[in-house]
Amino acid sequence: MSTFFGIEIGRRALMAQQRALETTSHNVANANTKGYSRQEAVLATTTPYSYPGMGAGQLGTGVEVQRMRRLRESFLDAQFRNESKALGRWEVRRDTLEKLEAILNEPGDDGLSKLMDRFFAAWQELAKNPEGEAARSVVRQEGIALAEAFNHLAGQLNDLSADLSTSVGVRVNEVNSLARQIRDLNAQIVKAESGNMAANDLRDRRDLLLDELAKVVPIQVEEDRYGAVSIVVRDHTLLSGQQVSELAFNPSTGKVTWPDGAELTVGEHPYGSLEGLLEARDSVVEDYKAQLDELAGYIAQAVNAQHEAGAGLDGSTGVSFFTGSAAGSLKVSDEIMGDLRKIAAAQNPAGNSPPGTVPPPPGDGSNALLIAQLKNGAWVDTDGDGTPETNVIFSDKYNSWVADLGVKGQEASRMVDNQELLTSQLDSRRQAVSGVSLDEEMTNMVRFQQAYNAAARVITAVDEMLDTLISRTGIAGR
Amino acid sequence: MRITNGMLSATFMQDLNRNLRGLAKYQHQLASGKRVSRPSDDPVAIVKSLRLRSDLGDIEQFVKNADHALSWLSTTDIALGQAGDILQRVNELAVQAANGTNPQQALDAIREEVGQLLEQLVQVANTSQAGQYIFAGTATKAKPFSLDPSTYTVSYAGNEAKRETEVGTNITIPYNVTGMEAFYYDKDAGKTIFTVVQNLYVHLKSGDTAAISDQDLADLNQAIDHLLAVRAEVGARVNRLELTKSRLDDANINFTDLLSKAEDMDVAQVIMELKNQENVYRAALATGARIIQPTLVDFLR
Repeated sequence: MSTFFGIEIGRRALMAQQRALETTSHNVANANTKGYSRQEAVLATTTPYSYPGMGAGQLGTGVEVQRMRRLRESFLDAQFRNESKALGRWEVRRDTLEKLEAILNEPGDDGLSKLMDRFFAAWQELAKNPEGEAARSVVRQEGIALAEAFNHLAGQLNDLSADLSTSVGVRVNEVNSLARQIRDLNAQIVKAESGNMAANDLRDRRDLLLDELAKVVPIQVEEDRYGAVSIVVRDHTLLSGQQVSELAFNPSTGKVTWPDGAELTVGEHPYGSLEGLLEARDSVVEDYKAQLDELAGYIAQAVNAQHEAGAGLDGSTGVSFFTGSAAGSLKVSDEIMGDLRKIAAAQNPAGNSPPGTVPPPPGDGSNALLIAQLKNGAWVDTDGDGTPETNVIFSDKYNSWVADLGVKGQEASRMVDNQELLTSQLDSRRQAVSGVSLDEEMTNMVRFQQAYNAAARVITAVDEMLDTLISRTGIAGR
Repeated sequence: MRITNGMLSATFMQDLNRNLRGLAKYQHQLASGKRVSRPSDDPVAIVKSLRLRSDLGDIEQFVKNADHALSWLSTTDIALGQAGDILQRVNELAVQAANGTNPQQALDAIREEVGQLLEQLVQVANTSQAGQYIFAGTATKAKPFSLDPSTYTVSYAGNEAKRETEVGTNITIPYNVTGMEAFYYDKDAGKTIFTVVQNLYVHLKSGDTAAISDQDLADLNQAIDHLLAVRAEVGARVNRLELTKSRLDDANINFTDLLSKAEDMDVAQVIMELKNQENVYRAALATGARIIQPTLVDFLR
């Protein structure tokens, strides 16, 4: 047992308290750093000294910083990521549905439902005034307006689809980039920790990246014993060891594929914003496009069938009012655009074959009335066999579509609210464990500072003791 | 549970945001006057409102149609009334002529007037409204009746088609009276109000007073009766249209009321809620200002 042992203990205490104080300083410095977990210098006694024959038992030898602990609950991380993958999907879905609502612009004075009403009302007017050009030109104008509204909606849905596709590409890049960053951090962490040093700050950064990744794709994270994580996305390994399997996005087909050629498809329960985007593009928007096309097709079919059966002022029959059967291609036919008299307001008169031999009486608006009445129900061919078999009310069909959109939008925004609440609750539980509390750090600061001061005093005391022993005891050697 | 400064500020921001969202919602409702402005606000109300808007549009159109039909029918009624008056005058003249004591000169004078009246009758039968000849069936662009000045015979160029308009969903009503219906009182025998007058004209010319008193007077009465019957029929149709119109007006009021219930907001309620939200927002800001700021740092030397 050395004479200077007291000084050694004091030195150890000074060093340990200083480390602890530095940790506090690090915590305070990172109080607002995203993803930072507070750290703690774990103090422990050094190995005690057994002094045989002293009878008093083991002699304490001071303190050391055993390790730097990172306060984090990996269970909460897993939960948080599990909820944020759902949040990622619902957010995309809500945004998409909100855009669709904006595109439809209902209820409004220039929405499709108003234009359909106005189109059929124009035929009512024509039925009353089939002689003149005025009512005919109104019918044509309303027809153009309706067709253009369909074209415009179809165009906007296509644009929305293209936007979503672009976002898919961006997300794919994000996934790849995150995976690469995580791979690099893996390497650094393994290297640092093989020297038995806790790579706390590197782990924080990796956890933050994993949080970000979890919002984009549903991930399963596994950490091996060297500290490296591997990531599995829906049975496909995204990251394993140093190997990143990068997703590829093909802008022309819009498909996302794994390196082995398998396509990333949307299952029954999409999770994460990437799958959410694919779902929105391939199922939500595509669905509405199909419904819009169907509605446009039905209107064109029903109006054309009735229109072709009637006769124009000049006796022309069999003229289509609309051409095109999809929302994007619907337009008023060239014959009607070229000649208002071709609008078949009248019934086809007997003996009018070939067309034009017996023009109908100019005051006959009965066919226009029949077309106007298609608003209340029209027989259309829904199964494509060429014969009409279903009575469709256009406005009902459209309204149910709007209602469907509304219900889905409502659900999506409610789900986003729920998931936001859940994730924020989980995050606050994480923060309860990992967050930096300034009050706590200040308390620790005072604690460590005082301990440091006290240790210094101990050294002073030992120093004075030695001084007494060396300088003032006896006079031998002077 | 440990509470950290980060948690406090994060929760505070979240709550504040939620309050602001609430404020924005009520503000939007008040500014737009609508409770629902997007389908997802209230899908049920939106569908109702779309349906009602469409129904209101229909009603508006039906009212227009009914007005159109009414104006046709009233023109028709006036024309039939005029035709009746003319026939009445012809009848007076015929009674006067039937008296066998009239010299041919007097008969010629009467004939002159009857000829004038016949022309007038044809004019009435060619009444038009907004460029449409109302007694022409659907051949509305050409005069339906023409008078041959040499023989004083009248021919009909119109057809027997009905003009119809919709005054209720799938309820159509014919609103024209064809020249046949109006002026042919015995179609099989080819007897029209014109042939009656024409016959009288011929009999006056030949001085055949016996035929006038035997046949023409009876025919005239029949023709006048026929016109009255047609007018009664027109009147009945006008009644029906008036009824339909008042029903449409009622429906219009009801549907407008329902529409307002479906999509308009209750101002008093929304303002109350806005006030509540405002209070919460103020309270949140006040507590935020107290809690977020101080830490132990402020109290250490």
